[in-house]
Amino acid sequence: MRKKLIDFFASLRLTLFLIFLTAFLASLGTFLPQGADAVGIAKKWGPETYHVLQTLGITDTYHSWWFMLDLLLMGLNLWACTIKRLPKVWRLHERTEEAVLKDSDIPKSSFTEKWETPLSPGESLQKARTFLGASFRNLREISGTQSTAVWGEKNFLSLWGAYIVHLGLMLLLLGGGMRVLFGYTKYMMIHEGGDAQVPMERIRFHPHFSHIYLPGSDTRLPFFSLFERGQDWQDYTLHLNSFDLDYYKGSSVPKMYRSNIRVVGPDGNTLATAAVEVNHPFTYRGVRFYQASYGYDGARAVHMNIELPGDKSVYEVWAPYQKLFPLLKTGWSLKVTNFFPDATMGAPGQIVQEGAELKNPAIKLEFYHHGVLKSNYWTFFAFPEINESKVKGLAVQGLSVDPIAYTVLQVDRDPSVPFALAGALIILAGLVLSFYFFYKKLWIIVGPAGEGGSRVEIVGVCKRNKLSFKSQFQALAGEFRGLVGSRDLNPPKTEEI
Amino acid sequence: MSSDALSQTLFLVCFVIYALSWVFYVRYFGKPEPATERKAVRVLWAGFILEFLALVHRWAIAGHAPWANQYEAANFVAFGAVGLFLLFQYRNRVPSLGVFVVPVPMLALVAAALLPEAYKHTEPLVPALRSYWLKIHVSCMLISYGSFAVTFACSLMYLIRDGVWTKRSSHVASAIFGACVGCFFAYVHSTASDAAWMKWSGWIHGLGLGTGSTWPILMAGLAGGLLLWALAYFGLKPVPAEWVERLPDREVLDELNYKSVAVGVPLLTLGIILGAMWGYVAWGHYWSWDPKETWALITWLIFVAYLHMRIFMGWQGRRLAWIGLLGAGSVIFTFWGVNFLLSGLHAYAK
Repeated sequence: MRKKLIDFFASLRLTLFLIFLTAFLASLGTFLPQGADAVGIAKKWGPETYHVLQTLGITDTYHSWWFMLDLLLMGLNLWACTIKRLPKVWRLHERTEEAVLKDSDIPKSSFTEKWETPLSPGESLQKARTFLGASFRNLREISGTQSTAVWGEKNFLSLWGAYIVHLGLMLLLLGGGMRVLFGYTKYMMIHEGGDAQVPMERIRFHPHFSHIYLPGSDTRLPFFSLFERGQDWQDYTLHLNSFDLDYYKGSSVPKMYRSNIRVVGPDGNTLATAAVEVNHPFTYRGVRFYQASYGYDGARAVHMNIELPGDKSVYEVWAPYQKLFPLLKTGWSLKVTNFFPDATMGAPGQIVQEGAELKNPAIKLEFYHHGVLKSNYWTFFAFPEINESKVKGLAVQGLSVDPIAYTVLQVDRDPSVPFALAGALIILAGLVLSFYFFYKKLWIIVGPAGEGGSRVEIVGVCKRNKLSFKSQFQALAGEFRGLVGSRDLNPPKTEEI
Repeated sequence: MSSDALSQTLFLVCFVIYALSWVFYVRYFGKPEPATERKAVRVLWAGFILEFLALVHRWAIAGHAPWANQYEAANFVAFGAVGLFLLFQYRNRVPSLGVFVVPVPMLALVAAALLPEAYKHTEPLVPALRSYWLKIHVSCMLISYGSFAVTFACSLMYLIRDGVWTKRSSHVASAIFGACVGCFFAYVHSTASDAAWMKWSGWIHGLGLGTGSTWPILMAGLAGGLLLWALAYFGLKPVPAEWVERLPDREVLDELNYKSVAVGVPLLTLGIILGAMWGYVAWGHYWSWDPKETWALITWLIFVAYLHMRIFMGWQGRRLAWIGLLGAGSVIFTFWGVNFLLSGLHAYAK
């Protein structure tokens, strides 16, 4: 029973089945919208379909129990195959004398030629040694009752290539599991000149029973977990000194954005400073900070031209943000109450924020005349002709703004990275070993023949590249035949075993 | 002429040169004279060198590695495929391989040239792409695709040499294969809901089979299956036996097929690993199950299955040729289909 189970998990048919199953299941997640996007299915195909897909976990393919089960089975299969087959590889190397001398035990995919020579067995053997010694190091030799075999092998390590790949894959799968158990991803937002706490998760060993909900239903299942997670904050904060945004020359395509941050300790002391940029994350005590996003929220001051009723002159002002600002002796004062970096018209007369980038800035203004609110409206920098002031002669042209930038950093902890990286490198090493180094083994078996001559058999074993090995083998066998001579007139034919 | 237009013209010239080389290969196939084959190889080298210069020129005018959008990537795939084929034919002189391999880079160049004009310009890189990882990850992936172009040709040649139209199992395989491809593309089109799909599904609905996407997809599968079967059966059957026999022996094709996979798989693996490392630097995740990533993994899995069948199960020949074709199909979808039919983090590759 146990053997049967191991055989089942170690079967190559299962491997192939799992490989194609994984490919198929993985493809599902690329065609069907996943996660939050999947709600669209309900609109398109009806809520029932959506509910069925959700219950089956197809709307979150890569975290569904069946995908995890498939990956787990793959891991088991890798283990079982490796454990079952590794000893065979070793035996190929450690073949005993009886095995070598018995024709029946010559491994598959090998080539052989046999002939008789006038040389004595001793002489033939000597020739065989020098001949093989020219292309192989560490020749080995075994004598039986009748015959003696000499052999050499090359690139033995390449036979292990596949298993080295398996080891790497196991590390990768292990890494994936570690990421799920011990990793976390959070986001944090910091305003220019401001501080923000750094979110984290405390994960501690605490075996306990809890429960999980089946996806898409209210059914609870008891669930045993080893670890407990709790939301917490790091004992340091981040301060955003400044945020830089570069554009390509003469275009509005952003070239680079960067948060210049300072790590502040509990006593307000600076622990580190860093520039976080896309493609250049910052690592601090095992936590990595990525530049994820940015935007503008509020401003320090707004630059604009103002025309007032009954006044011919144009006033150019830098008005502070959200502060009442008197316009000299005109009796008018203004307050910039709101600022959207990328505003758009929602419903008629309603201004909404479209994005956080500085694309279509708009400000909301309040105008007071001798302390009485006269006008309260939005104006777009790009469209000063849309004047909603409702006071004759009152017009504003927004010129520029000194916005307050904020940055969004992704806070990531992933202890699986060293495992994943090691796994990846081991996989590569295994592949290179299996594909670019070819295992070769050459035997020469010498035995006595009539009239003081000897019988010679040359056997070549390869594991890959059979076709090119065949011609190599023929050349080598021919060379050796020339060395020891042959009694037959017809040259022997290469036989495939 | 702007430098952008010059760059596009250079790639078109490459296409013409590759086409000329192909003509020589076909002529050699019809009448095997060594001189013709030498000409084919020389012309192909000329095209390869010109495309190299075209890429250098594009690098200079764009200011970044010339494989940052779909147009550039398709041109680079052609370059990689020709380069790998030149290497292959140097190591394994099988001239008729050229008849089947050279059209692949030609098709890649045509596909690039047929892209909408807006996709063909050199564009400044968005911040996420401004990294040396772009140079190594993308080039590695695209060169591996090039070696799978050789796999594709070898598989196809094997099936022809094997007399695909004489084998009952091949009838079944080609029909199933075509049906899968048909269903697959119909399904993907149905999610995109473009004009062609509306017309096609409307036509099926007109037959009174009910509304919804199911019937049109099944019908597309039926059509695909019939088409590929007919192509394999009626399209190849009239090919004179002496032509078929001019193809290399099945044994040779099988070995070449395996060799091309043996070059492609480590490159693909390296490419995926480099991509994961870049993902870790740029997105904070080395694996995000993004469609492009997932499809690269699917391609990898298919070729890994190929290797298991060959190395551990001792399969050879016809079955592996079909798997090789399946893998090549997956490469095409990863490279082309994903960008236009699915969205995701790699969307800037457009």
